[in-house]
Amino acid sequence: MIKLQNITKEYFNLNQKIQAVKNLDLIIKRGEFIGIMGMSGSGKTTLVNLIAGFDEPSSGKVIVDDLDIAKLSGEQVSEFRNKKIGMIFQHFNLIKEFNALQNVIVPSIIANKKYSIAVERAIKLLSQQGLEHRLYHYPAELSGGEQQRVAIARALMNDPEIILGDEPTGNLDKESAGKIAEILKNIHDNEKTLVVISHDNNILKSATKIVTMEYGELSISNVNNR
Amino acid sequence: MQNESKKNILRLIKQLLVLTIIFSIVLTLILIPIRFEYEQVAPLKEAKYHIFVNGKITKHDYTQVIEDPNIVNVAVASYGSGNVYKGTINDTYIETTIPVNTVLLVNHETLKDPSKLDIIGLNHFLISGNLMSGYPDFRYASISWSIAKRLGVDIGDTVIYWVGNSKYEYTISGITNPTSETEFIVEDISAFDPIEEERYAGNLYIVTENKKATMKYIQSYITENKKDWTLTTIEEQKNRVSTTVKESLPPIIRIWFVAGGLFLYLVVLLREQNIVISNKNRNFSILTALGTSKKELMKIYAIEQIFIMVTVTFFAALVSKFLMYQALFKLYLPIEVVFHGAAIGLVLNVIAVMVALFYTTRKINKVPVAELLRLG
Repeated sequence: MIKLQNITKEYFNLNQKIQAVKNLDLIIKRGEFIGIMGMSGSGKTTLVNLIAGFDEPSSGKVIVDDLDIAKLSGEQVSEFRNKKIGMIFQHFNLIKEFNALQNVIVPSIIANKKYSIAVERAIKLLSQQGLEHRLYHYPAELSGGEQQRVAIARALMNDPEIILGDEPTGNLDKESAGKIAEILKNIHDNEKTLVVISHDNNILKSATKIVTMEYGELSISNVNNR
Repeated sequence: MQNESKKNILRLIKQLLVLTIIFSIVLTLILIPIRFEYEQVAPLKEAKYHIFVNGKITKHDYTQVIEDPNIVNVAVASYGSGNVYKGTINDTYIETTIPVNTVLLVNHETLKDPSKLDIIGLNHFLISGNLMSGYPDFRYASISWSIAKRLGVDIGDTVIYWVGNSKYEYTISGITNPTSETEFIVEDISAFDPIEEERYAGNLYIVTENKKATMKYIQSYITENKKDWTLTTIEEQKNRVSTTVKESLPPIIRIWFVAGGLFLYLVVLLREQNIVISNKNRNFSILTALGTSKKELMKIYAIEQIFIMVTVTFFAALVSKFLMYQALFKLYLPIEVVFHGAAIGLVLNVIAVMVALFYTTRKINKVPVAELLRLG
């Protein structure tokens, strides 16, 4: 379970105080699929960054499975991110120098898992994404949709409980976006918790709850009964 | 990826190259004042005679020396034509440049061993017994004292040697040890560089293992031929040059040499680090998102930097020794990058890399991970 308790995040830009998130409260239950919408600069990405531990709240608490993220050391946050969180980005963020298989294996290497087991799992995950024929292809040799599927396989590599996405279809054509939305739905069906920033209806229609961010504040705009 | 990997390899090579060049300059700059100090405190080694004779060497009556009954094992050969020394041997100061009209003492045994002669670039062939045919264009020869006496010839004379129907014409360029088994020392001049030949023409080479006899020969030679001469050792020469340069460079300047060298290296190193970090920012961010801690990132980075440091030190020491040293030697500066030079280089590099890593830690900590991940 993810609990955001009275979260405020402030930062300074040109000596001007900006509140990216204001007094936000949100509880995300295990297995929920939260879709986050909102205008540019409304605080969506800040919210996801707070859950991922990239940012610390100016006030309030981010609690994930009884862990107060702010109280963890740098090492502990990294371990938390490695084991509990899988991230999917708009621009895929694959390591250009690695092929698809190597990219997917990275989280396991960081977690010090046995290499042969990691390779086996990575091949399985890439095959599930329909990329068994692209294992040794490098990001530059893959289409946008394929790159995003590699990124999803990477996010699932350490079998995390939470998947965070920041506009995962924002850089894709309609067909590829549809495939990604389907994959995210399948991930949710496998009882993962998903928090995804998106304006893509294909994704949002699979969400159990859609929240809208506006000027750092949050409103629940829709609850799907999936 | 091949492109990305190639780019990365090229970046690494460029980084290694830049740092090696700069560090070799720095190493040389830093070692100049250190070398001065070293020269000052180092005890003088056993003197190796290095005699400068002013004026062209002329032939000399060797009999004055070998008539002395106390001199049994003397081997004297004075070559009318010169040669170019290209290497070094330990027991005599023969370096890359030999001033014209230099008298050198070369160990007798050295001359007997053709491989050593190759080292010093003499290209002599020792032949016992009959001269073999098939050697091209030999025009000069050193003959043994006994043959010289028997034939009644002297340096500069021409002798004709017949082997079967072949006729060989030689100018006698030297007289060798009367007790030596060597009948002929034939000098191959075919490979001589004409300019070098001209430059070194007139040198006098003395081959002996009997220093007393040699000194007597030299003394006789110089006195008889009314030559101006200076007896000195190479250590004395080095010290003289070192002291002269040192006196012209006050301590503060020497400190600036060291400080300036290190500063230059640090500036270049930090600049290179900046470029490297800029190139790695994206991957640092991705790895952070996947759960790598800053500590782990620094560890990966430090290993890479240690590899670079060791490589740079190694190549910079080589460049310093074999390029900078050669270049500076022409200016007659007494700089040598030997083991202690490489050790100094390693220590300096460790200091520089530590400073750079401290700076890098700050840079890596400031990588805007979330922002970079959002922007891709």
